[in-house]
Amino acid sequence: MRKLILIMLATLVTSTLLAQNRTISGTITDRETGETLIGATVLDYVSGKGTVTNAFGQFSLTLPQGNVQLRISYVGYQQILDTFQLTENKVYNVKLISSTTLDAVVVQAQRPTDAKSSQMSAIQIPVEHLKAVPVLFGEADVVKAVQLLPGVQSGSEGTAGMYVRGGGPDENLFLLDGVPLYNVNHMGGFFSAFNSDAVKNITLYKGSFPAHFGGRLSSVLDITTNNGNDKKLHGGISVGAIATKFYLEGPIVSEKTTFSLSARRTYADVLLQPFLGIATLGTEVATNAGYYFYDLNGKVTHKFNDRSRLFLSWYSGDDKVYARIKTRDVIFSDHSDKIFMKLGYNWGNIVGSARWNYIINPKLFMNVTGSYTRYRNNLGLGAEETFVTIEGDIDETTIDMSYNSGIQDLTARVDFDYAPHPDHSVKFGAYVLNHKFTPEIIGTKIDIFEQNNGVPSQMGIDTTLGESIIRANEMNAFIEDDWNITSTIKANAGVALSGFAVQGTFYPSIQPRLSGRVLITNDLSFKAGYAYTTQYLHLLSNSSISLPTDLWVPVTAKIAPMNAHQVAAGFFYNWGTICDLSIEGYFKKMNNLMEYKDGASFWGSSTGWEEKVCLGEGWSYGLEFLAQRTVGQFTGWIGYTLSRSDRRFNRPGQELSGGNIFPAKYDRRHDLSIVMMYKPNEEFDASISWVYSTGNAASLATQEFEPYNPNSDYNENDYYYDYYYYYNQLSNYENRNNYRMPDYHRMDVSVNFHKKLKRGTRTWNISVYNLYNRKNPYIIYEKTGSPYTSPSGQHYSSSLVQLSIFPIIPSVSYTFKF
Amino acid sequence: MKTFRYIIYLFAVVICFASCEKVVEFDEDETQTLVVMNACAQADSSFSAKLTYSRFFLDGSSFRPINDAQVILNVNGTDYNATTSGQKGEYSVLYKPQPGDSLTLRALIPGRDEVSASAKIPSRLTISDISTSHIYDSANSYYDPSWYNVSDNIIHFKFKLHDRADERNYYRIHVYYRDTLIKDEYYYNYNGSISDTVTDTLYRQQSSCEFKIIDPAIINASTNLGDIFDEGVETGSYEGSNLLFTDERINGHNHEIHLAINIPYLYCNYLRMLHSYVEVRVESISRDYYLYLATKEKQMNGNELTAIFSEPVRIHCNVKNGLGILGASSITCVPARVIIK
Repeated sequence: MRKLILIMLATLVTSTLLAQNRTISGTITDRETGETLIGATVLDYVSGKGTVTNAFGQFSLTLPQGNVQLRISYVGYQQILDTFQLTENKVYNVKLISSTTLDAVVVQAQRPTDAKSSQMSAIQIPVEHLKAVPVLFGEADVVKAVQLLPGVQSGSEGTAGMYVRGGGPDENLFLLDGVPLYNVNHMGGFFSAFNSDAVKNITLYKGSFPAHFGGRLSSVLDITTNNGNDKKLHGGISVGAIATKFYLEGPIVSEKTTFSLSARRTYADVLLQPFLGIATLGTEVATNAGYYFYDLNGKVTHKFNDRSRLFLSWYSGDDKVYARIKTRDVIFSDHSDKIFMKLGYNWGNIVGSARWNYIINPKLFMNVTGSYTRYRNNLGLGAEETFVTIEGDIDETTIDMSYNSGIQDLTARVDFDYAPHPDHSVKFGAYVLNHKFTPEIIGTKIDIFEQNNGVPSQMGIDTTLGESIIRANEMNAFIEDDWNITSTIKANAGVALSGFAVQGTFYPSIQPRLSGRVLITNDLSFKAGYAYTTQYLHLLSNSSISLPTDLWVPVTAKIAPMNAHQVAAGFFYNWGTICDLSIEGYFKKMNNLMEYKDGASFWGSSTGWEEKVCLGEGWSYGLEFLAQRTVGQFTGWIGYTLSRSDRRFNRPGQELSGGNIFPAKYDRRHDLSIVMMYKPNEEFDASISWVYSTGNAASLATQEFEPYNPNSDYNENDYYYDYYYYYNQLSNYENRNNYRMPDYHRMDVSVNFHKKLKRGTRTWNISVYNLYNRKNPYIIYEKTGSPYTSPSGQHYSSSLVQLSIFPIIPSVSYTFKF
Repeated sequence: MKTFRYIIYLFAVVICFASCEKVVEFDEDETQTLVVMNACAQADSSFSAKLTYSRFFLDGSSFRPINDAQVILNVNGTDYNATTSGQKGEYSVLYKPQPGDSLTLRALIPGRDEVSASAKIPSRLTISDISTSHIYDSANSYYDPSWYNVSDNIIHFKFKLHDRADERNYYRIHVYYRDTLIKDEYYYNYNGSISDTVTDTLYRQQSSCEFKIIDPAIINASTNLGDIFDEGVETGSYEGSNLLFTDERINGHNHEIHLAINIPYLYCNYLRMLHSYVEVRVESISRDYYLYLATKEKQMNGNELTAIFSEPVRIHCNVKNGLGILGASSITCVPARVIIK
């Protein structure tokens, strides 16, 4: 690996010195909004060299002196063609014109599955598609749109859990403006934390991660939020079935400083209050209770000059459960008694980042980022009672209990984009993370005040119990080069060096990354990639739904980091303006995977967790097919995955399923998604999606047997036979996840009616989730019924029962944009 | 912490209420029944085994005994044929295993592959420095108007367990009590019915009883770990009637064990307790038997609600071509007579 880096550096230096080249650099933005465009293509027809814009819309292209014919394109925008003589370094800022109904022939934009890119297993999702995909309660959701892509599976019905190429839900890195977000779910996972109004760009990496990403085994979902319109104020408000959203963006100082603000809140709790009031009317108690979630995204961008920009972004999102119960003033003949009880439970994230983006020279861009991310889960319980007798004796008791857990990260990061030569685009940088884990802190405070015969007395308890705070430091340094080796062969080679220090233990890791592309024809390419990844954090969770009690914990001296080797290869074809096709195969070998021991459950506590887990290995392999059309009136995609994911836990003392290979929890043989969108004009658009997948794997004991019970001598006529029947039988779980639930399939539809009004555009959205009311299984279990007698004796009827949670759900929402 | 659990339960219940329940067909092939062979060879006790068939999980019938098997117990190379009587699938051998014996139990059942299991009787363990003290806990006494008074009698029972250093040892402690009660007029049967025939003036009852132990050295090395609300995980304490532990943290030591045994004292209108015998049984058991008992306890005592969200428990088995267990144990009993006032 050291040799490879030396060769790469030598090549860069030599080529830089020898070539008579000039550099074109600049920023590509939307002409109307001023938003930077990420992933826009800049191509010189003369030399055949090209590049794409980075996360800040910037590009740098070094070309030989002389005639240049540039084409700048981006999906959904009119391309620009420009010819000029390149005699010196040139700053070239471009403003593209957006068009939602472009003629397909005109658009030759960079595709989400571009055959020419060297990047493997990465899909860029147009935000317009994200908003058009029909989903639960009509609430556009980033993660649920991503679940419709090949290689990505949802967990349980309706949830925003993500399982990529056989990996677990904690193996996905969610980046919001480059900052990790730990809990990406609201409402038990039925909604993700990303407000679609705030999102500008989404890229999913399923494997062959570039070296500048690290820390997770399975995927990276890189989400960039809007900077804000730099010309005029824009906004919108949307009222849906469960939530209201608004966004506002515009210039603070025209073309210099912009802001973007978006917020979302559910309002079931507000609607519920009158009903609670009616329910408790005439009783001795008054109740105020509810649940809601909200999220708030804010971003301020300041452009000091063409070379220097500052980005300040903020996200906060919380779920809150609250209840307050108090007795009305009850006065008895000899005393009065007042009781007040309260419950507050909230969990959520805060993410803040400050980023300075500076163009050192036309070939070298720098980003310096400082960020903070925090997930916390707080429960507060309290009770107050005031008891006053007619004689004036007082008894006041106040009890407050709290439970807090969470994780906080402080990150400092510096990234450089360096384009020393037309054939090289280098990224390098380093970052350090300081993790602070607060596994569980339990506080109890009790105050008792008494006054008997005029003599007051007071006592109290104030204690704090729980695990002490754990601090850990993670360090990463990376370098990668996107290298045009020949006109048809391109590679992205890199390495990430990382280390994790926790409780006196240091885990180092060298993670090579390599992906390459061979252009077979101008539209057809073969790509292959390899990535080695290491993960230092685990999520303790016992269920497929996302509970607030899920806890992030670091690796320890006993629990080594997880790591994975992944190879992938496939063909990519840009079929003119019809669609983009890709077929990709992958094999992933994972080590030190964590599974819970038999019978283990966590329920929000990490205490002793190391004793409840075991480590093993796993394999995932599969074939993914994607046909995607991103331009024209009809757009959408068909994604299909054929895959298998197995686990083996056979280390001494850590055997699961007897050390045999068993299917992973989210192993699915077939997974098919068809998403179609139709937009004939500006007044109407419609979309339909259909998903099908093999049923979830579940553990089901198909045989029951008698336990060893030397003292039992029950028979069916005994008094205790019922007890004996229920409690003196054992279930034989031959293997974990040995049973397949019924197949899952569902169809959703959505239509939008837009109308231009005097001051803006209004949109009515009607969507139906689970159109044909398929009862998909959520949980399956055995249910024992009542006894019956037959000629052969007494029997108990048993049946297999499934729970389904989402029947057909229609919803309507109204949006007004100005 | 309990409130916290209730909130989680509430969340699960809300999800269940919002859901739709539907009976589904089991559309996979019905799995074949397996032979279940259960036995535990105890040192100095006659040997017996029970053979039954397992049943398909949707089949609500009783377990079918296997009465036509040929069962052979091989002890240190010598075969002993087992005999069966009745139709309960029970087979017995006129041999009392001794510590150190190597046993192989084979069952030949027509139409089935041979089912077999092996075990070795562990050495009997040594205990010493036994002491007993008794506390009457009047604070926990209460009156049940249905028919009797109940009060708590706590027996503090201490002894030293001498662990052998040269091997990994597995232990079980369980406590039985035998009460002797005097009957004034008539008594109640086990099932609560009243006997109308006076047969004896003395009445005895025997049952396992619960005890408490706070000992991180053995509790943390035990498998009696439930979910997180099992306080034993945090405090190194255990409360129950069947403690399983290993010598992982007391290897080779003379470790003092202190049990607080809770014996409910019953006093009904016609029965008065005279005295109670408490018997602490400390067993040295084979590894397979230990794992079997631990997994069995975990599966059978699992909370139905939390079980939905926790991993299933696979019962440990050392029976080849079948299910069940051939366990091995050497019991050391420590009786203590307590006079109840």
